[in-house]
Amino acid sequence: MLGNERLILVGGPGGVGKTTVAATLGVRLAEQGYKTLVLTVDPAQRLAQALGFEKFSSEIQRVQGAEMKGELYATMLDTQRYFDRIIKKFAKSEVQKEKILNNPIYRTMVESLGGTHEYAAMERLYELASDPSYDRIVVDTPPMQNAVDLLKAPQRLAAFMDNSVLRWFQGGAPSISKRFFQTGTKLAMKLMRTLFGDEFLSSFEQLMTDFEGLQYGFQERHRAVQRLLTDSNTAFLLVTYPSSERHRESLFFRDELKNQEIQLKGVVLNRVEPALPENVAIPENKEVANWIEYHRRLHGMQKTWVEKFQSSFQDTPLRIIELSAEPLHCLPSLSRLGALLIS
Amino acid sequence: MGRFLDDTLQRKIIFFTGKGGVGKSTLCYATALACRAAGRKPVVAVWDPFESTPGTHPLDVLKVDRLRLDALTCFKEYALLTLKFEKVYDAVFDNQVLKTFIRTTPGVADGVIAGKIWDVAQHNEYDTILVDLPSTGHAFSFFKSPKGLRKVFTVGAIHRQAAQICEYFESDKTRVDFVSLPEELPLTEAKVLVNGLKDVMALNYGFFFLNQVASRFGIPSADALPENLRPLHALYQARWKNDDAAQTLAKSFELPVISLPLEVRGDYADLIREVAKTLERV
Repeated sequence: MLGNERLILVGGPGGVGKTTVAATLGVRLAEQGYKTLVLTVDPAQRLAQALGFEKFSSEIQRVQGAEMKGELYATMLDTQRYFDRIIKKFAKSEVQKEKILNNPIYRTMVESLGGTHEYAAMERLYELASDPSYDRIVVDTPPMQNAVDLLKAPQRLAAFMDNSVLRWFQGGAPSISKRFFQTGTKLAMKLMRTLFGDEFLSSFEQLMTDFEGLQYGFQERHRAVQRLLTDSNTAFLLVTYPSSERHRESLFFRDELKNQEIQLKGVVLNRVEPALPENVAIPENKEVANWIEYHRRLHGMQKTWVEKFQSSFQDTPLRIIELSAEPLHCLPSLSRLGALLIS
Repeated sequence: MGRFLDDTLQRKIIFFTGKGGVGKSTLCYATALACRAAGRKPVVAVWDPFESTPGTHPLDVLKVDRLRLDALTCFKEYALLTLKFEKVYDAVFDNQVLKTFIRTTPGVADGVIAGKIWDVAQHNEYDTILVDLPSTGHAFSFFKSPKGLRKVFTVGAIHRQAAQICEYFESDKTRVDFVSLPEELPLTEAKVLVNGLKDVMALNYGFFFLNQVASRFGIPSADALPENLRPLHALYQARWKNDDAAQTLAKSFELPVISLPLEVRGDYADLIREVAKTLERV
């Protein structure tokens, strides 16, 4: 399913065990001798404990394992902090940096209203991927809905920072060839002034003025992230679950990846109900008979969705991970699961 | 009629919140069917990024009205409503600068969507609006948005309306329900929501749904079973133990807990019909 890709993105709908799959891949790759980093967005405490520490942190932590020929590191994304860092990195001067960081609208955008997380996630991913000391980087992306936003984040930010948009706010001279655009813009401006009030628009214009010059950094970064995502050295694994809703979402995700020219290297169906053993004797105990019948139905229903996945993803390798009674409480249990994905 | 439906029929807006993939959409649609069976006209309001999937929506067969919460559309409607007496051309809404502003200025998109939900509640076209809120982080930014907008926009139409929206969301016309699976992460998120949303707004909390709880069977110990059934036995023991722990945690939130069974259906609409019947009883 996976080749020798350096960057492995793990994505899919919410609640299907993406983080666990990312961790199992990390453990397995480290055992194979690679220096591996797992970046997670939304880790469970139980998983942290399985990796041997109390909880995930935004610092990079080393995972100790006797079986590892390579090294394993894990870190969690702390999105709040990263946006400020992005501004600091791209600001052309100390004055510009301070002006932006202290602009009340900027602060509200970042702190109280949220929504800037996706940009930060991409920035962190890019930063880590640029560190040549890791052989393999496994990234557990946020749930699908956000993952689509995540993948589009650099593009959106670049669009926002686009010269024509910025210049309009900055009051610069628009090009004559865009006269129609200009007319629409004047009306749009009037509309926004009415709805949002003069004061807000003025602060917003100020922020845009302060952003002067930053757009080149953002646009360059957008192109770099896009190159990284579409690189042949990057693989995307879709982790999902056999049900009608997850199937529909997975198809949507497949198309979205295709639009963005990101390679889908494999589909993992997680938490699949195991089949009943062959030749189960019909038990005399009525409760046991009901239980077996219940499971037979549960498994049967799921099987129809497993088959639908198989026919929808014919060109993509597909692996099934069955539900297990064994809790994933230690490195060997994560490794066993990872072995199903990386031989 | 159970107390869930009884309470629901007295409200205008119900928000369903919880981690992605826990069954919020299922509950929205099932509640809509239960409301309709009681003679009301419901609408399901969704953030549906998957709407663009080719083919019809799998739930069209239920014939429940769906309100798609798209920031740009909501903004356009809102602007036209506010500027009744002025002529506004479509070109204005197609303007790249405006689109970029609405999409990228955080809080604006959530704010206009909150405004849209509030606006639908002011009219009589629908009796009940069932809102399928997106992921946890987004639920916070959504409920923060009216107050956030008041802070950002210190004058203007939005400032005035944000106050009305807050007031309505905090009134007894609105209720917030929580949905979780009997698993660690969804329960942790539900806890964050139950504890945290209070600080954002004085919302009325309703019910806590524990979805996909496995059926119970009084099966004997593993030794009494044939050898080849023992792994499955172990799996169900682990599952039931897990369900028990989840029930205990859910009860600690001090909200009425409603457990819904683990059902896998070939057809999503059939599953929703089944859940709707359960919701009429509980």
